[in-house]
Amino acid sequence: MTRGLKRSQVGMSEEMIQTYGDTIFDLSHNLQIRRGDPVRELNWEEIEKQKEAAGISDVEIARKLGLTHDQVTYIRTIMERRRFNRHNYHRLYDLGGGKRFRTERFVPHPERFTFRPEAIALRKALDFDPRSASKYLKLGHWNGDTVSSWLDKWADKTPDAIAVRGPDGILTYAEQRDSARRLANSLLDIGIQKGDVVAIQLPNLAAFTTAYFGVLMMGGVLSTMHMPYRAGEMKPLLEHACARAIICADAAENYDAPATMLALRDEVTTLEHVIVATGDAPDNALSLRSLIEDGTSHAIENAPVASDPAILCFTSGTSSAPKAVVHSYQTMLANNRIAAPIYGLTADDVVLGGPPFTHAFGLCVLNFTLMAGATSLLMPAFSPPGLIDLIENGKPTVVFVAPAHVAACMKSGHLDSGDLSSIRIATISGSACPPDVAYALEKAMPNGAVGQMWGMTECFMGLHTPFDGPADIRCETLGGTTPTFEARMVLENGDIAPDGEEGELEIRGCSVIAGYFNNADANRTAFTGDGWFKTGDLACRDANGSVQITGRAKDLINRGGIKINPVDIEAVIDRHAAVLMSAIAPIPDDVLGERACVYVELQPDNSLTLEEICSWLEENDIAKMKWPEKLEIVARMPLTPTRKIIKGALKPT
Amino acid sequence: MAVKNDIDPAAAKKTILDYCLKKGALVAGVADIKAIERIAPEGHRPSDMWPRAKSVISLGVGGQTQGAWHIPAKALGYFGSTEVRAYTIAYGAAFLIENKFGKRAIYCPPDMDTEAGPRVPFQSLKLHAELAGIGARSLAGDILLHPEFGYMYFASIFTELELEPDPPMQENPCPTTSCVDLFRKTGQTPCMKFCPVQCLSGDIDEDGNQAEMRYDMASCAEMTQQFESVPGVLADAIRAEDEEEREDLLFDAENKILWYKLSVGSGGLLGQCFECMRVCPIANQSPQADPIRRYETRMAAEGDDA
Repeated sequence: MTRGLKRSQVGMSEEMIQTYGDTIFDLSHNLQIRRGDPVRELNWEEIEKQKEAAGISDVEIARKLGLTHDQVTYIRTIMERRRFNRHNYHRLYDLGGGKRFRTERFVPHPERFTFRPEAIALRKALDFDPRSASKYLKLGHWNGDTVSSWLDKWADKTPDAIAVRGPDGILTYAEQRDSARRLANSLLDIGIQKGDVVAIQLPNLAAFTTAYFGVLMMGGVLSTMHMPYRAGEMKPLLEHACARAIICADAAENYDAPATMLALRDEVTTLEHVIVATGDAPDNALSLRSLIEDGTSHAIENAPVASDPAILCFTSGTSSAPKAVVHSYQTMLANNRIAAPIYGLTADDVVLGGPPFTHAFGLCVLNFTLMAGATSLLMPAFSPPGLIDLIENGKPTVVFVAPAHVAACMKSGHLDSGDLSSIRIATISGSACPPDVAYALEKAMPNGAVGQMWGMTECFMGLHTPFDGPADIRCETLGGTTPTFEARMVLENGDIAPDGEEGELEIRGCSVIAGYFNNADANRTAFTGDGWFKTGDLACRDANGSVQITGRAKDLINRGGIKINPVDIEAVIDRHAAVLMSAIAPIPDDVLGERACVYVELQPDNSLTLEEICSWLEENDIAKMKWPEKLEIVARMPLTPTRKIIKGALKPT
Repeated sequence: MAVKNDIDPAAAKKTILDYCLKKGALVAGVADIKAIERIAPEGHRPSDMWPRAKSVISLGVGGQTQGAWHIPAKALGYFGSTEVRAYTIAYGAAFLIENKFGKRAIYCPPDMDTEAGPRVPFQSLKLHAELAGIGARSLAGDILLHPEFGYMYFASIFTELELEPDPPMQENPCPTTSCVDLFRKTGQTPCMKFCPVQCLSGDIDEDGNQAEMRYDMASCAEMTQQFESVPGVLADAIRAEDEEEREDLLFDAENKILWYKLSVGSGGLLGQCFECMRVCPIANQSPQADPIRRYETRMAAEGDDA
């Protein structure tokens, strides 16, 4: 519109704009060319000759092209709008104050920061109740810490301190940061973007910690895959996570991980890269070692911030349908900060984590160690003699183990014979711990105290025992609620259970996730609207506030209306000399609804009958109504990475 | 206004230019109005604004302080408002001419021609200054430079008073030796090299003089002239697929600045990014371009007078 006139009123059409637009634009002042210095020199011949090149007015253009003045003004201003690139304004932000424009270094802003739709979708899992988020931020439970900022802190402060000691290498904090940075830059170079999911299936090796720090440093989200998983288990997880790359070990005798991953790459649409962390990479796969060697060591420009997603873990619980847990740095690291005083970790500590880093418990231990600037002592695979040998030689001061680790060492005799004198504190977690197991470990540590911790992938540590408390609290209970957390036991009717009465444990706190990623059904059943997470664990709290886990809600056997909690019965059966481990699960029954079936993995060269089990239970004062009514001998008990029995995988013959 | 017929043009010119210098102009001169009439595009000649104008007086004020060249461009953009000082002097000079000599005068509006849109000024103050001999065209998009005062802001006064015009500058300080050296090595002078939208190009002849200056003003405008963005943002918002996209378009920080400028804000976003002048050795390193040096010169001169 010019002078308030519409284009039709000045005799204009779109075709005319198309026809004359470029010519008018170039004749106007929008492009100015001058040869020599004719005006200053008053060289009239040149001035006249160059008038058009210098840019002429609308009325002059109109005369030249045979258009009206209004038409030229209309077309010129329309062309100025159509050719205008709004985004060039952003270049201002990179200029001055010591910064200079360089064509070769410039990346247009719209191309600088991009997130794939999958990355945005993943962020929707971080949908926290705003009141809770506001509270955690106000109280400082959530802050700006990231894993990279912790690594930077120690790499700057104590660059020569040992960060990681594993069978595949020893890394100082400076070396760990350097290798992680190089990997991070290489990942960006191969097209991994901030917010992309990078899966990993590696044992506890230095290669794992480098991958962990590298992926997180460039803003990737690390999704852990447990070592026993094979293609069948991994494919749905990789698809659910929309993983862009996977890091795995090299081919072993019984498992060719690279070949498995390359085959999965053909099936999982988002999966682009297979990175082999140990040994040589086959064709079509990348080598982690090469990515580290070839990567540049400059700091990452668009580093992640604390509210970004950091890890994506699939719950290892006994559920047959794993759920995707996304932790931001805020939920993940808050737990470490809050629990730190309980452990009193310092940079002088050497921390041995029994659980694998592919499990949230393992990552929690790794982050704990990093937070303190201590040394991670790595155990890639568990065996009783291997664990004791590592303790004797690595001399850890702090140990995190699962009850099954300790129980296995007890049964093999290594616990009593080993030298555990270096340990000052040992935390048992991962599943309910029989008291005799905890007492046995404490007895084996002449200078150390046992404590227990309860946590889940969804919340990390929620309950703990103090290490300076009485032995019965530390060995027989899970202690109290972790500071800043809230816990309650809820009865079937929804009421809060009084002290001493069993109910489902619900927990609320700054490390509890907002919900599972892309699993509305699970979210509906596991989360209340006000921040409580229904753990599925049965628990009761005594008058002193100490909590005991009494079982799993879904493990209860409903025998004709009578609920049988199998935990105590399993503990008794586990003490039988012929038993390595046991689990009781329901089998359907036409009359009673459910009956109890006991699954037993025997000690080598042993046998056992149902009658012998029942006699053993009778000897141990277990009521007859709780006795199992069927026995299944299993060659190998199905276990989670934290050596918890997967009851869903137990089926009667 | 009493018309005076016994005006000495030379004395009058001195009075007016002295007034400008006393009020803060670094330089002032009289442009040849006949030359402007021949060179300026039709519709933008002095006679198109005021046919009775007989003389055009041009003055320049100092641009940035030395400190200003070291701040980020998004802040430096606001320094375009220093040109107000030039306008104030021109405004006062117009009153002086009318009061003292009884001849009509106007302070030449530096604004855009409302009929031609926001990229076309009523008059080219740059042409006035060039012909008045207080600046010469540079390779940096014809921005005028002065060998002593470097980069300046200009203002003009039209008057019925006939004054003897000054000649254009004898020499053009652009390009300097260092700029020629860089051009010989890289094909670009500093202003070309560091232009963030690469809107400048050109050539230097064998003698080290400007052979060609090319200035893509449209690209330059994309850096700062956000008036084009306002309707663009609104049009995009109307076409937005959903409320989320519409909210992003209308209420992101950068676009909200547009609304701020339209409502309560002023300054900035209307000038240039200044990169070509920030790197120009004449613009900010000429002997008297530096206000600190100017002060020292003035003090020394006053000392001499004393």
